[in-house]
Amino acid sequence: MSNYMVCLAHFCELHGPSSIMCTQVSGDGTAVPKLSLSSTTKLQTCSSCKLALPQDALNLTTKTPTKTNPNTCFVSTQYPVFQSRYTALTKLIMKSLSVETTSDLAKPLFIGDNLNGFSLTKIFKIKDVNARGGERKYCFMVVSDEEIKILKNWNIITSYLTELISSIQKKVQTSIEHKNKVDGKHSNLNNETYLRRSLVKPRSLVELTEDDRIFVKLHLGAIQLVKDMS
Amino acid sequence: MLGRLFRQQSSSSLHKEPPPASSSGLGTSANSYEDSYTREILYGVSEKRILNPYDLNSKLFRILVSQDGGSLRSKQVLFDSAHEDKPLSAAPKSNLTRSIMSPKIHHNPNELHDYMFGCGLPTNELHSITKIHMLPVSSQYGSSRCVLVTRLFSITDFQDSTISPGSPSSNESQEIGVWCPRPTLPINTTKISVHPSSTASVSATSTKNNVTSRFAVGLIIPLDDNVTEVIANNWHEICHFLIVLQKTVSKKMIGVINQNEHMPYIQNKRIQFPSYILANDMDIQSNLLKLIKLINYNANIPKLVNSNSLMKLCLRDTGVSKYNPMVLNWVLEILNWLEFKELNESSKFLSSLLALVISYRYSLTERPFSHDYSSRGKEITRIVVMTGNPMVAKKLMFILNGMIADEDVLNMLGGTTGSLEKQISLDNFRSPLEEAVDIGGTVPNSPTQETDVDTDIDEEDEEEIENISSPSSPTSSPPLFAAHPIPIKSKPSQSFSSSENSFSNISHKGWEIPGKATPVTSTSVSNSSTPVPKNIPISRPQRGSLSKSSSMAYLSSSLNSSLSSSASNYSLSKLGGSFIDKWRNQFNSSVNYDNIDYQPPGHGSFGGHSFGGNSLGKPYGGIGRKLTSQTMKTPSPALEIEGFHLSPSSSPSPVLSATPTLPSPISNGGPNGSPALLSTIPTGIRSVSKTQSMFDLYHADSFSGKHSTRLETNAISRSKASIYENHQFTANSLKINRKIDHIMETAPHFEVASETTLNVPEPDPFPAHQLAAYEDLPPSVAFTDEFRPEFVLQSCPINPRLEQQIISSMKNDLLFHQNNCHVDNITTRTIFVSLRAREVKLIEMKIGDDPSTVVTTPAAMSTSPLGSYFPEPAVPRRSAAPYKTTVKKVYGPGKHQGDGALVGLVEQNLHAMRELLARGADSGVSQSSPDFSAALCALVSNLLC
Repeated sequence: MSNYMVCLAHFCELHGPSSIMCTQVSGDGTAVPKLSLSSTTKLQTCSSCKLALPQDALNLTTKTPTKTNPNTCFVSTQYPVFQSRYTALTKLIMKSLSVETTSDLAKPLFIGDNLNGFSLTKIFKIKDVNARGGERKYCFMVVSDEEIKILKNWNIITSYLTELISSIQKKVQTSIEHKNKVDGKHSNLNNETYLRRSLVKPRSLVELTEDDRIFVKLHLGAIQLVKDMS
Repeated sequence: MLGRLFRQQSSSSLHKEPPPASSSGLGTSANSYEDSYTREILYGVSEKRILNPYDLNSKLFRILVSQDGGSLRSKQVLFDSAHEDKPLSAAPKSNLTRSIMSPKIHHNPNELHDYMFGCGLPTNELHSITKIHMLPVSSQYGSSRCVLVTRLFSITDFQDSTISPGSPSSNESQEIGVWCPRPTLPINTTKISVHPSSTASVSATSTKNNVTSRFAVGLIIPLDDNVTEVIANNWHEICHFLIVLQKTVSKKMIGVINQNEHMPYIQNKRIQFPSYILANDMDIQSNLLKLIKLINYNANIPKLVNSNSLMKLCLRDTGVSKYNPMVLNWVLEILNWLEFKELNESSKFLSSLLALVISYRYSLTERPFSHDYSSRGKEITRIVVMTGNPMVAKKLMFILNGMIADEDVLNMLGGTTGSLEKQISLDNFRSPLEEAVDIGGTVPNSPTQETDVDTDIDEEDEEEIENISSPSSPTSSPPLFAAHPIPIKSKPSQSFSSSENSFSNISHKGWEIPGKATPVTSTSVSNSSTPVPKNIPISRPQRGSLSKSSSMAYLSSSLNSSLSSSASNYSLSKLGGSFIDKWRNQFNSSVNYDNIDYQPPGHGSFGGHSFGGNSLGKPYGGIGRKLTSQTMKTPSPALEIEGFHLSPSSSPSPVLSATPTLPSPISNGGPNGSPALLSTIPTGIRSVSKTQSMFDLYHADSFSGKHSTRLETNAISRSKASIYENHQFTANSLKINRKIDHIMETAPHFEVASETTLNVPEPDPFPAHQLAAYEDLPPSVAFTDEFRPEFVLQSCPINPRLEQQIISSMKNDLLFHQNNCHVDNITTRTIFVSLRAREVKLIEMKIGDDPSTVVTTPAAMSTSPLGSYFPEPAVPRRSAAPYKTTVKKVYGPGKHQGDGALVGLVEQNLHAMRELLARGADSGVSQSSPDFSAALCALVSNLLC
């Protein structure tokens, strides 16, 4: 059985390529605690990297049947608990956001090897006046330990990632327009603001989208993606 | 200006690759997918559009080999298939002008290096990495979309201590699913072999340091529209090509290093080759043409629809009758084959072949270039039909394709073989069959299963044989067979008619086409050697002049039809012309279509049965339809029912359950909207002639308004290489859009499960639940211009070297899997069918069995083409294992060495089919009864399951 991880990562201006949310699948409902972060977990991250969940929770779990397994559970955490998965995901995130080049952000990128696994990545940017260059760089990744599974589901994965990215960007744009309307000023950067590093500060996707349940929604979206992969 | 144009022209034809499939006359080729019937039986569709080849511009294919120079911007091109080697002294000004003025169709190598190696943080990795980039589309490079497939690899003598794949940490393996990355095809890493004589010098400089350099092989593949169809669906084959190319490049580079004992190319622990050092290497250059052919053949030749799964579904869901036409066509084609192609009473060609295929039906669904990580063995089975006449071969391909059982496709379509086997049991239909068909006799075959010394069937195969045989085995055979012997061998002579006598010379050649069959328009059939007057179609006056002769004629017309598979459509004319073109030319000369008018199909006539001669344009049964050239070329009146649609909901009748009162379609002269898809079929079977029955069935169906095997009208559709669950695949993106919109616009609910965990229930309901499932079709094709090792079922033109090509390919199978896939037992076999020689050979090669009793040849020492890919002295390769080669002639003129018991059972089933259809009307049992349907289902399921 193939293993999948759906990950939202970004290039943090403080920490570099970092995972924000990682959704894993377990065919055994009892394995959920083993995939979840414990309360003693020390998460020393900035708000930009933090998986900001309601109730200050660390994990999201959903039990839902799939075509092949009625006891399938999905667990979303900031990063995988298990070492091999953590290592693999970290390397793939680093490659996607720092090493590889894409000609067009709208085009997906496939990377894989027999040590870390195989990922289909789509990079996107969202506007933020408090980010360097006025935009933040994120990526969605679907990672599997079976190469052919990723490639066979190329169309489905890219469709899902495109929709998720579009939804986030739409929310951010709506938030920006709403803020401009309330503040009565335009948030376009001028040179003065653009060059001042003091304005650069980490901001969570919750803040950018003004949706405190954005990660819960992304968790549900990741579930649908994995379920629809044949 | 003219000079520049000529230069461009010459540069564009730098390589002698074939023109793109789409431009190689596909549109103008007469052998396109004109034959609706053929498209339906082979591909499950009647539309040409789905089978049209992709527009892959061969000029855009490219292979690039580069090395990492050590810094981010230091990359050297070692080989570039798009590179034009111009002498520096040759008019540099003109070169400059040209580079400015001429449009660039190839990307700059520096730009490609950014994709291949990355241009951000340098990494220090030794293992192979695979990347896929979508190259930019811009006016600079033309509007064609291309994809860059990169394989990064290292040449090193460094002992890699990283965790090898497949070795997860122990604490995880027991917890949850292990993270064990599995590439599509594994590959052994290549290490540098230090020249023995240079060991001292190297050790003096690098005793403490390992030599490591990074290289990349890039394949640029043009895309038409769909990444999945061109790349993903053929990823196994592309991956295999990449590995072979990587090995070749590694070998070449290591050879260059070892040329000089001082190793001038190793500097500072890094291999530094000068640019374009491999530019003139013919071995690498030849890979461009291989790549072009690989993609074109695999992406443009549509795979055969898995008719086995469709028929199993039909047999299981007898109340739905979704795909009854496929069953019907399959049975009728078998009967036609027996009648017209096996004129010799003792001929057991088809039964021998089917019995052989049955043994490997599940192995035939596996891709030759695939690897199962859960297995320590690899089994590859191919069927290659060598024929000079693809129009005849198509019938055989359809029959053989029906035997290939693909569990994945069947499961996707909603069925399981187990349940089907349970449901379809001969025992269930024993009584109805016995009642419906007044035939009898004991099984004329030996009850004991024949054991062939040469054939080494493994346990699984033996079990499979047993499973297949058990329902109708002599010991458990139904009373139908046990009580009354089936005169199988006498049937061919019974069915011979006077018209057949006229073709005797041709038919006895076995597989030659009766090219001048068209003038035969006899209306009476009386010269049967075995008197079975009640079976003669002349007793059916309402059928007009149709007779066995006309049936034969239309079979001939089918052979002359313009059918072709995608392969024929995709004609690599540069290779010497299309196989099918050649064949067609020889027949077009004998047929004149000039005076044929066109009339749209689907008007309830059955033109096309008779072909040529006096029958051209002659109206049948008062319908007055004129035959079109296309109709005449088509093999059957199935073409005429193109407009009919299948509605499962409106066809609740069981399979073959008849509507006895159905009027004769001929007398009706038009559609009558009969409710059941095949309900009219038995009504048409009032003649004992198989061909006549076939005619009637088609004819009746055309009037029933139901006869269609087109998948797109049903719950499934297909592309060139995949089959989709329903017609909504194109709406998958829309469903995904709705799902995500619903998620994003709805406030999700959650509940606190623990201090750190929130339980998020899945919102219900979603606007769209399930996406259309799809499954890849087995790599089975109808025709190819040349033998392709990627396909498990194919027919190829006659080539005296074909058998040797197959054997070489099989050796390559052994070598590849032995050296890369770490499997213990490798078996590759090919069922080689020569239609002209009427031979069936089973060629088998094995590694892993006890070699002590066989003549052995080291696989790695083979002179096969792939053997040169693995000669690196220092590559840690498994010891050369001996392999066993067995060539067994299973069937030949006067030679039958197949599994006698299984052949007998198959023959028994085939004969029972024939008897059932032929005598059903005369047995006193209504053909419309469920018994008839059940009996036919049982017989078919005996072969399929």
